[in-house]
Amino acid sequence: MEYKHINLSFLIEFTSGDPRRMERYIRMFLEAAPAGLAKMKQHYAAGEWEPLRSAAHSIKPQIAYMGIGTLKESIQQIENDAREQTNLDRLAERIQDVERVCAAAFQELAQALNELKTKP
Amino acid sequence: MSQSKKLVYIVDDDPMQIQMMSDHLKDKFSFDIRGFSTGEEMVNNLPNKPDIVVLDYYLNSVQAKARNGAEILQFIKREFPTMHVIMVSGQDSMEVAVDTMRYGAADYVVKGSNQFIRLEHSIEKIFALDRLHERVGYYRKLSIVSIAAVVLIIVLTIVLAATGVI
Repeated sequence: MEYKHINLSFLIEFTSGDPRRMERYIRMFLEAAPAGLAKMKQHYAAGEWEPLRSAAHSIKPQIAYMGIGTLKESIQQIENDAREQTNLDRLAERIQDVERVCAAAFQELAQALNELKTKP
Repeated sequence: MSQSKKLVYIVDDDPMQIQMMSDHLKDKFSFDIRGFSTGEEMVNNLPNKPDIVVLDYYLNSVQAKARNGAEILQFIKREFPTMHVIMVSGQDSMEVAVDTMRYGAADYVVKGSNQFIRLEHSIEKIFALDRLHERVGYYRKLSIVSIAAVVLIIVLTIVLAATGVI
């Protein structure tokens, strides 16, 4: 199946196509990522830049593993801006953008999970 | 690679990272692997002397006051100077890489899709160097014993000649 927001080619290669292992990593991501995003929003609202940097930094590799390529630059930018405390006026927009793409990616990952369940 | 199981510690505040690195290393090597979410927790287990510590640079996403990887690395190298530490970070920063190598890390691996292969190669390199050091140590001992034997033979010859035995 073709997806718009995710690309599972890394996971397929990493797991040698083992559906159970792919399922495990996707589930771990789906469990952790919403909390990570919530943390980003919470720290932004509180003006806590180092915790915001840390939250963006943590989610970055997971997003790469799930092949959510469109978010790579946004997340890196949030991390950089939070660390250097620059472009703070644009952070809200960037975080919203990340949230929007992630919501779509989560749906596609849920679909991918359903497909993987049918594989032996 | 030797047949005895090596002990590897993985320290990361992201459980998914621990799981993926652990799965990859178990696929490639016969390791005993233990994961820790903070450096402090891992340090409490250092007396078990792991062969390699894979250490994340930023460890404060869950516990804000957790010490970072650079501090933990310096502690390890102070207490166990020969222990191998591989630093892992989501940050592709030359400054961080140089700092961690200066503090004694064996390698610096950037997180992302290539990190697992890089980690695997880094571990292979560490074990190859260990084997080389063992061989150098063996040949050093052998040469010392050989020199001692030659000196002993010369002294014996002089003594025997001086006493008229030969």
